[in-house]
Amino acid sequence: MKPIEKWAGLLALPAIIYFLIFTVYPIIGNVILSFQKETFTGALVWAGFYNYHTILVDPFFGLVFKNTIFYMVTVPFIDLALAIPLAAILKRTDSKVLLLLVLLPAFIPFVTAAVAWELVLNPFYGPVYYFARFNWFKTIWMIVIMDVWESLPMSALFLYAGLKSIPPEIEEAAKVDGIRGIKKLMQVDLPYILPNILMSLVLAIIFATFTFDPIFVTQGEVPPMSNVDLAYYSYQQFFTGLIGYAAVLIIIMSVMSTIMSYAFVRVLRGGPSNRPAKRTTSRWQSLASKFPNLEVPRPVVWIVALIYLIFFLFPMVWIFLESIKTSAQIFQIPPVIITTTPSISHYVSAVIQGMPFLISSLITAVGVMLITIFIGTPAAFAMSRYNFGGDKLLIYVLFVYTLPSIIFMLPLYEIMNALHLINTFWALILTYPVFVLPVVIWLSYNFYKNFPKHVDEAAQVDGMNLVSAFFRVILPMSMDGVMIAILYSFIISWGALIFPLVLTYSPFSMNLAAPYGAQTYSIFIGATLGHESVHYGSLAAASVISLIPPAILLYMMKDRLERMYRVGGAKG
Amino acid sequence: MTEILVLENVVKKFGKIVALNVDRLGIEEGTYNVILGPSGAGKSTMLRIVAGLDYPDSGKIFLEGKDITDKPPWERDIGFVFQNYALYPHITVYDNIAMPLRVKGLKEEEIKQRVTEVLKIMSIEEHINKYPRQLSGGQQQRVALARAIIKRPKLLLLDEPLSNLDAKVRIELRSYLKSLQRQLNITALHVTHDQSEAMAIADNLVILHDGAVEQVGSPKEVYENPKTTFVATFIGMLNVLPASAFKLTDGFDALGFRPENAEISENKVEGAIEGEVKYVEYQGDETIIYVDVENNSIRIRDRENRFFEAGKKVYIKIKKAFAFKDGKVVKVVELS
Repeated sequence: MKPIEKWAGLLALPAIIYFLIFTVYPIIGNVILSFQKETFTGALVWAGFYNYHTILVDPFFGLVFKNTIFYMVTVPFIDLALAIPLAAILKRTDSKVLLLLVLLPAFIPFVTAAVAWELVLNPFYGPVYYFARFNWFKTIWMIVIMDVWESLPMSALFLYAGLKSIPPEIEEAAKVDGIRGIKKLMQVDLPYILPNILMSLVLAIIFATFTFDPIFVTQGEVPPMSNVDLAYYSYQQFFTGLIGYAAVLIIIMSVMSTIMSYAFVRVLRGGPSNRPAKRTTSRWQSLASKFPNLEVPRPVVWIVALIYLIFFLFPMVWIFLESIKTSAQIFQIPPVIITTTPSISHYVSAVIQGMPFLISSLITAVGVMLITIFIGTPAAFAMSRYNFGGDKLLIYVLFVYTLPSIIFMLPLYEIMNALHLINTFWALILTYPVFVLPVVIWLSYNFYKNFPKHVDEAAQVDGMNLVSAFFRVILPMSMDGVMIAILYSFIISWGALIFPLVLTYSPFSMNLAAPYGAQTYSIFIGATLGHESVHYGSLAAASVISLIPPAILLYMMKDRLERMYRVGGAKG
Repeated sequence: MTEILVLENVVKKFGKIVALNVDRLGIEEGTYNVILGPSGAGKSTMLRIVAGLDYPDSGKIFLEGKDITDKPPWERDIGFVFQNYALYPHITVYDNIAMPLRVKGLKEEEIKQRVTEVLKIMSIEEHINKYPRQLSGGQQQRVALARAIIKRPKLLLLDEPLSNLDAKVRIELRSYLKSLQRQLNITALHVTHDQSEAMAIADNLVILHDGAVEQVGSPKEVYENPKTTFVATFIGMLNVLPASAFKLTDGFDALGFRPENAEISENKVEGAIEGEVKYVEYQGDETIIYVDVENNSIRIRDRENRFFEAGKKVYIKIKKAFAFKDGKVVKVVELS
């Protein structure tokens, strides 16, 4: 090995160790757990295929699996059908304000979104039911709506980034050929951005198949088991103590997500293929040429844009309107739209009651951020500049990136339990990087692909070894690009729900000398205020508060959104 | 004089291409060495291998007799000046120059004293608190130079240090480089593809071609006694004529001669070759006359600035020529 490679290995070592303990071990650990069962004392004993056999006799498994497939099929295709026109509108209007408003849902904590939709759709005091008289609340479609609302912006962003990367020569060639508007979109644009379409589809499938937050939020208010999927069901089994059976469910999900992840990596890493065009290509061309060669009139574009905006903004506007009403107005029928007597009392109680939760969330998010800076960015640099770990490591990182966090729940609980860290900040700070680190590494990896090479060479001849060169020169210089990855990590930590549900059980004791309890603000919104009570005002106020950090991030990212999500460029 | 740097059997390949293949090269202490060659000759590869930024596939590198082949750059006692300066953009000129000393862990007072000293030598004191982007190219290169010499390295490596600068600054800075090297009595290794730059500052030229060392020697030696056809044609202008043009057939493939080593006249002279004037280029201090000899275009330098009509028959008397055979210079022929 060349000396420099040893040093690159040193930079990546902490991340490698982290991945081994917190991701590789859990994947193996699940398999071991699936062959064990818990006795009444809580001890785990060998159970053979008992847990696997349980699937066959479990009366709910069929329904749960059916629901999972239902989300997997409906959400991504609704997403795609809605994302294509939306992306075209975003490109046509070229309005940054519209882009930011549309993207907001993708950045806010999913639990907040679920709560907002719950307030909008519930048949008791929700405005939609009152005015439209349809009750989706009790059907599985409510979950689909919430999923689409949360994931559609990201799908649209991927497609939009693709549309923006179409070279001007192609645009001009289409112009010369006289292809315009809808026909051009179908015949030229969509085939060109096929990798982006596949990418957004795969991500949406992964997202929808393992839906958790909205199911968690609506439990107790919908018919039992009616909308439960594998992700939520495994969590339920874990909570009732059936750890071995939960592990079996998790293994099923692992297999599913591995297949999806393979597709994801293929799309992401695959360049233009050299295979001859398939027949479908020309079939598509002849189909697409039947679309009208028509530029949609501007007013129509804006009207459609407005409909999208209403869909995206309505729940957020509604929780804001709810949050400033008086308690009596919240339960009034017909619903009060805009209060004449705004009050901040709900905010006061959301902050006072929520303070221990807020503190936990902030401490955790900052801790995770520091870990990802000091572990993730050096690893990304070693991988990017010195090809450390080669394709294998990169693909593993992308693999973990696409795994739903529920998969890691059981073994991480075991680890934290063994370390006596359950219900502490440490349990969260140490485990969140499982889903944060891959994102940060991937974003930084791409950033360092374009980082001037001579800078670290200059550092080396100035007498710095690779590790000190990274922390003295490269990291300070890359703050600009890495900052986005870091903020992103903050937002993911901020909205996390599964890990805190599993690893904590009480709010922070408000005593820094003897810290105890670490429930997060997402739990405060999703559980403490959610279906366990009817404090709709405080719930709305707390939800509004949880929107603040993501909104700030989105604003800071506004000028680089297109570049970050460009699929072609992602290959580096 | 002792050899401070020795490369032995150094081979570096990029894929199947042999970028560098040096049997032996020794660099003497306190000299200014210029590595010269066309692009793709392996110049930068050689410099980067000496610096430790690249590693050879085989062979050894010795600095002051110690084997440094496997040492990373930070364990070699070198300064490096990059073509694009490679200053740290996020810190000031002062901090850029102080960086190598801070890395060594020197005390702040000593750092300050040494940086001030170097800034003075470089006459860039007034820019001390500026950021690199606020400086001109020439100033940035001086800062880069200051950063490279501040730790008093055994070797100063310069990778095309002047090629990003405009012509006037380039000439000013190149004489400065040489005087700085003399003043500090440091050993310099300077890579360039620019001949006149190389001739102007080198104590020693190392001519590279296709990854191999063609010739090492002082500029005068290399110019007057090139060892290979490549060196003879690469350094300075050279006219090459097939041996048949001279009716000399005693074992040469061709003869080469420099434009200043021939005399042109309208009258037939003993031993002269015949040609036809194509055109003349008046350059002020001299005139270059383009002559066609048996369909070979040759150039003659005329200090007397005579004018010749195009198409005129002239006679060229060669005073000194190199005889080539199989890519080597086998004989220097004095004909006067």
